[in-house]
Amino acid sequence: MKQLFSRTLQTTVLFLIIGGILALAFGGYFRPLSAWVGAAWVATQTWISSRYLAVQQFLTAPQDIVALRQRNLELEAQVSQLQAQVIELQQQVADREILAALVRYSRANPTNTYKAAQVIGRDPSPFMHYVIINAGSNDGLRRGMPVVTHQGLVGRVEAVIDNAARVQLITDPNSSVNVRLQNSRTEAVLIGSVTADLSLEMIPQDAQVIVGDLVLTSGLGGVFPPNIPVGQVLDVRKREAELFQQATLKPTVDFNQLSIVLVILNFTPVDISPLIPTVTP
Amino acid sequence: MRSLIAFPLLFLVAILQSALFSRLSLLNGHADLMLIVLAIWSTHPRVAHAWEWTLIGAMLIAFLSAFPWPLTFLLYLIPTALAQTLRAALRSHVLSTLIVLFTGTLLMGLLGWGYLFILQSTFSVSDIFGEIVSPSLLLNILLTLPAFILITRLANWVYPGEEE
Repeated sequence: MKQLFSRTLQTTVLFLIIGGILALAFGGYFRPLSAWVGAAWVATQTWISSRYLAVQQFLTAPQDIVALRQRNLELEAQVSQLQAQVIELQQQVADREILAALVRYSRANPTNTYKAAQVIGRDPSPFMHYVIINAGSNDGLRRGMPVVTHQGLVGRVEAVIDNAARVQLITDPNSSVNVRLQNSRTEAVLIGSVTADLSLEMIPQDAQVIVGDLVLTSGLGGVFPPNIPVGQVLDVRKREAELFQQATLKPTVDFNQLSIVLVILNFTPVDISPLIPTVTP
Repeated sequence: MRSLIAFPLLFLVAILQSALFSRLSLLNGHADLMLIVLAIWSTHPRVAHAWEWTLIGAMLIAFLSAFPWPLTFLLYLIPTALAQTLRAALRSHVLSTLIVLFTGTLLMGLLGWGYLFILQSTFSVSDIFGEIVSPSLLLNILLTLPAFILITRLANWVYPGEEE
């Protein structure tokens, strides 16, 4: 009985203490203490949480690197593919621009019949300035036919097989073209060289040659049609002691970037060699 | 029978020469892949068909080039003759190749100079050697290293030695 009384008393005291504490807490008496405990709690939990996250990151990082490397490889492959596409498209755009310019040129000169051909090679000898094109006798090409681009004169067909031809450029050391200066109407001869430089020879001393003058084919000799642009005068050399003036020419055609050319099919070169007098002993 | 590979290989070399290496110029010179291949091939100690290869190579280049064909044949036959002589005299394959290449490139300059001289074309000797021969020689030497490895392996395959 005594034991039962003692336990009831203990329970009552305990409830009273708890009730008292709660009453004090609701009354706001524990606020400083609870604030301190709360702050300590949050700080401790924040520290533990951040350490946990750091450890978790450390443990899971290698997996991320593998995934990232894989993704990086995929993206690099994609970039390479896109770069190849960009280059291909740029090439197509460049080709289209050249073709459009060639079409404009052929429309501007409707009297001529043209055959477009791609430059597929160059002469293996560095002394010879020739290109090989992918059109031949099957396409109507014949020896001697003039070759042009929208920029100007390229040269003439020198050898033909069924589906390819070799074109002698006007820069070849064996090439000579009869030309005239557009402004002064002076006749001259354009000569190529081993270094691909063009020079104007046989310019009369009294002719007025100005730097920048446009030079066109004259049509003399019947090898090339007249009035095809060839280049611009870059430099004039005039010496009183010499019979003729000389000039250096900047070609209108960029021979290093030659990719597509037009062969004039309906121009038949005239062979004037039988008319040239020969010395008989 | 394996030496029949000369036909496709030299055909490929001629195409590469015209389509690629003739466009990769330094000043006005460019590498002569056919000369390089024939120089390496002809100086290889085990090769037995150097003259045949040279004739095929020269014929292909003569077909492509506007350079007179007798000069083109001389351009490749003379280095091959030199290579045959050096093969007996020198033990070093690399050294023989470089000597043949050097001589072949100079010969190319000389033949070109002679051809232009006969045609009475306007040119200066310094232009030929400064703008064509020297750059060509440099490009030939640069291209020899990778070509040497490939052609030597090919020669070893076509003419397997006793140790293989």
